[in-house]
Parts: sequence; C-alpha cells; structure tokens
Amino acid sequence: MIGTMQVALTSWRLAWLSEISRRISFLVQMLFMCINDAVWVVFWLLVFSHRESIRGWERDEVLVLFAIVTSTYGVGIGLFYGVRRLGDRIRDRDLDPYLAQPRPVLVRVLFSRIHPPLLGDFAFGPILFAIATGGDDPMQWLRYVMVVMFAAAIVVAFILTWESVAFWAENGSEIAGVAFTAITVLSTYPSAIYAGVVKVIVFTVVPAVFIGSVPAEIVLEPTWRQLALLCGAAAGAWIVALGVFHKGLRRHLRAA
Amino acid sequence: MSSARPTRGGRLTSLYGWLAFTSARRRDLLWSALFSSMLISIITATLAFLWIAALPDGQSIRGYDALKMVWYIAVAEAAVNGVDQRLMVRLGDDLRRGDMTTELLRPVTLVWMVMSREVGRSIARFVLSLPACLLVAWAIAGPPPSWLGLAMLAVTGPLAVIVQMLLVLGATSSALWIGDTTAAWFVLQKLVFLAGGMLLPLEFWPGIWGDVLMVLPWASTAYVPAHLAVAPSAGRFVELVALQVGWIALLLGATSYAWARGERRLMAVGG
Repeated sequence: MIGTMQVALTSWRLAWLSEISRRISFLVQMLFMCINDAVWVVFWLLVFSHRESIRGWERDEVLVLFAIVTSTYGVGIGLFYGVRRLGDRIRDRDLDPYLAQPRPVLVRVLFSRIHPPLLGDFAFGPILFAIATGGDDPMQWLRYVMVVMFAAAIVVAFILTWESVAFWAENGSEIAGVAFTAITVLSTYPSAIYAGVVKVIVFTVVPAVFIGSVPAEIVLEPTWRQLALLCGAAAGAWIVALGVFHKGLRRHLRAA
Repeated sequence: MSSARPTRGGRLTSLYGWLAFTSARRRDLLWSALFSSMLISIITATLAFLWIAALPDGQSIRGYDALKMVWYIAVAEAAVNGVDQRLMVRLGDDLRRGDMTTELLRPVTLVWMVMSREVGRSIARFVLSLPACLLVAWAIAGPPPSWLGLAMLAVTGPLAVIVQMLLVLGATSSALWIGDTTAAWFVLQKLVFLAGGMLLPLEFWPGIWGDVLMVLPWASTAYVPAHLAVAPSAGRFVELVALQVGWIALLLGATSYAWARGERRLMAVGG
C-alpha cells in the first residue's frame, strides 16, 4: 500500500514537473481558462439581467453552482487528467508497459498527467464562490470544500467508466468524449430546468446533478438527505467504474 | 491555333477547389460528424430546456419567445459546430511538432492548402450536423417559427462556417510563438459563444454592446444565420450577408499574412 502511494506521488510529481517546465505556457493556459470561466459568468449575468429567477434559482445561487462545477473539474480532471486520456492510451496500446509492473495500472493511469487549463478552473472556483456568497461563513467554505471533493470523485469515476469502453470499442475515446461533454454541459445548469426523461438521466446514467445542483443545495441549505445522496452517488459511481475498468483490463490482458 | 493550356494560377485554383471537394467526401468525416452531432444535440437540448424554463407561458425577451429561442440556439449550434472544434488544437500540434514542415515541400501555398481542405470538411460537417440540431429543436419546442428563415440558411450557413474557420486559422498561427493553441482555442471558442451570439442573441446585451458586437466578425459565425432563421426579412438578409462577405475578405487577407509570416519562421527555425 505504501509502495503504491509512493508510485502515485512520484508519478504525480513528474507530471507536475513536466508541465511547469514550460512555465509561461502553463500560466497562460491557466489564465485563459479563467477567462473562459468568466465568459460563462457573463452569460449568466446577461440571462439574469432579464429574469429574476429561473424555476426558483436566483443569480447568486446559479453562480455558486457554477463555482462548485469549476472547482470540481479543476480537482477531478485537472489533477487526474490521466483518466481523460485513458481511451486514447488503450487504443494506442500505450498501457502495455504498465501491465508488467507490480503496481496497480489504475493508479499509474490516474496520476500520470495533470492538465494546466483545468487548474485555471481550480483557481477560479473559490474566487467566484467568495464573490457570490460574500465569503464570510467558514461553515459554508467547509461544505464547499467537502462537496467539491465528492463531486470530483464522481466526475473521475464517470470518466473512468466511459474511457474504459475503449477496451471493447475502437471508438471508445470518442464515445467517452460525448459522455464527458454531456456531464459537463448538464451539470452547469440548475436541475430544476430538466423534466421528464432528461431528469431521470441526470440523476442516473449521466449523474450531472451530483456535480452541480445537489452540491450547491448542500452548500446553500444543507440537509442530511442531500448529503447522503451525494455520498451514495460517489460510492455507486466508483463501484461501477472499478467494475468496468477491471473487466476491460482483464480482456486487454487476454488479448495481449 | 491558340494554346488551351491553363495558367499556373488557374491550375492552382482548380487544385484548391478539388482539395476542398475531396476533403468534403472523406469517409471519416461521417464518424466525426456523427459524434459531434451527438454532442451538439446534448448542448442544444440543455439550452432549449433552460430557455423553456426561463420563458414560460408565451413570455419573451427582446422579441424572442421560447420557440424562437430554441430554434435560434439550434441553428447557432449547428453553424458553430460546422468547424471542427478541435481543428485549432490539431493544427497547432502539427505546427508545434514540425509535422507541418513536410507540407512545405508541396508546390502550393501552405495556408491556401489548409484552408481549401478545411472549408470542404467544415461545410460538409455543417450540412451533416444541421438536421440533428433542427430535429432536437422540433422535438422540444415544436415546428420552426419561419420556413423562409430556414431557407436563408442555404446562404448564411456556409458563409458563417467560412468566417469561423478563417478566425480559427488566423488564431492558429499563434502556435508558432507561444507553443500551444489550447488556451487560445478556449478563448476564441468562448468569443464565438458569447460575442458571436451562440448562447444567446446579441439583442440581449445591454446598451450599445449589442450594436457593437453585431458588426464584429464573431457575429457572422452564429448570430447572423440564427437570427435570420427565426426573424427573416429581405432588407436584413442583404445587410447581414454583406457583413459576412466583408469579414471573409478581410480575414482572408489577415490569415494569409499571418501564415505567410509563420511559414517563413518555419523555414528559418523549423517546427
């Protein structure tokens, strides 16, 4: 276990060093992502300049939701970007060098890359959160950090599941791209706008509400029920992800 | 008897035209269009749900009710999706890694070759992804607010795709100086989303902001085809198409200049 942790931390450190060796590019990419996020804030400000609320969601509540989503992607995909490249690596047989090594393949994959642009999200989220809430309630900050951790775990598990499709399908990487876009897009809007089948989808197949709306509700008006729901979603997402990944990996090993 | 041999310029023009035509017929384009259609269908549907929730019971903002908003979004999404959203990153990587230097061996101008190839692909992608967006809009909000507006897309759609592609190619030349196009791609993409009117019509901007944005190049990529599709008028059609054509001419010059400089740099220092 300690050996695995050491491998993970060393992989992560190498990923960091590799990225910050091009310091200007690293910072420019982070800055541009912050600008990108600011564009979405402008979008919401424009929408709410014409509407007081949308199905009960007011401007500052939507901004809190957006702050949580950006932090979630910063932590989840920015720091564990290896998971987002898994499908490509399976297709290119780039996982094979890991197979002969004694440490778990998944750990090597997860900690293999970081993504500077998404670290811009990581920086932007808390700033927006402070602006939207006033930033003077320590308990709210605590809840913010906690829900971001849970939501990031769900995002990583979800992407791992879909990237693992590449073990079976040649276009697995593209399919994972569609899934990634789906969860990203659907999570940035309040769940109240969805109805019917779409509402069922965002709670199950594409668990987008557990990245945006549910965490935002926990931060703004916490209830034990919502917290239990978020924890359950994170556990469920990881059970599915590990099952699919290891099943796929066994198939890959047999083929190799 | 006079010689019928075409000039070098004429031969090259037909070569670029042929390149655009054959690029549009590549089979891998179908897969790419299929996946991107799935993506924009999701995005279109999500934004459609947002506007249906924001504009209940026939309410409207600046003349756009829920039906018009949903169709506006569908057309704008299809127009923006015409250009492969990874194109800039892909070309940037080719430039950075030096793969593009092998293209310099060909007896053609690099930027014109890339442009011809991508125009063909982009217009084909637009034609393939438009039905997906329109179907989503119809399924969620109902039939289109104007059939005449949809017919205008035959002109405004391809022009919008060409303007966006020229913006992308112009910005791609930055890869030669900062080494990576990912961040620039994000910013350009978001300018198209917001200043181009893909996420919401430019009339929604306060004060003179909307008027200013309407004459900038980004408006020609999404706002022009989407606005005319839901609120068509002959006068506005002529005015906005002239704007698109004007931007194409200007961007063509600017992009050719930027790439020519980049090409010289590639020759001097390599990829």
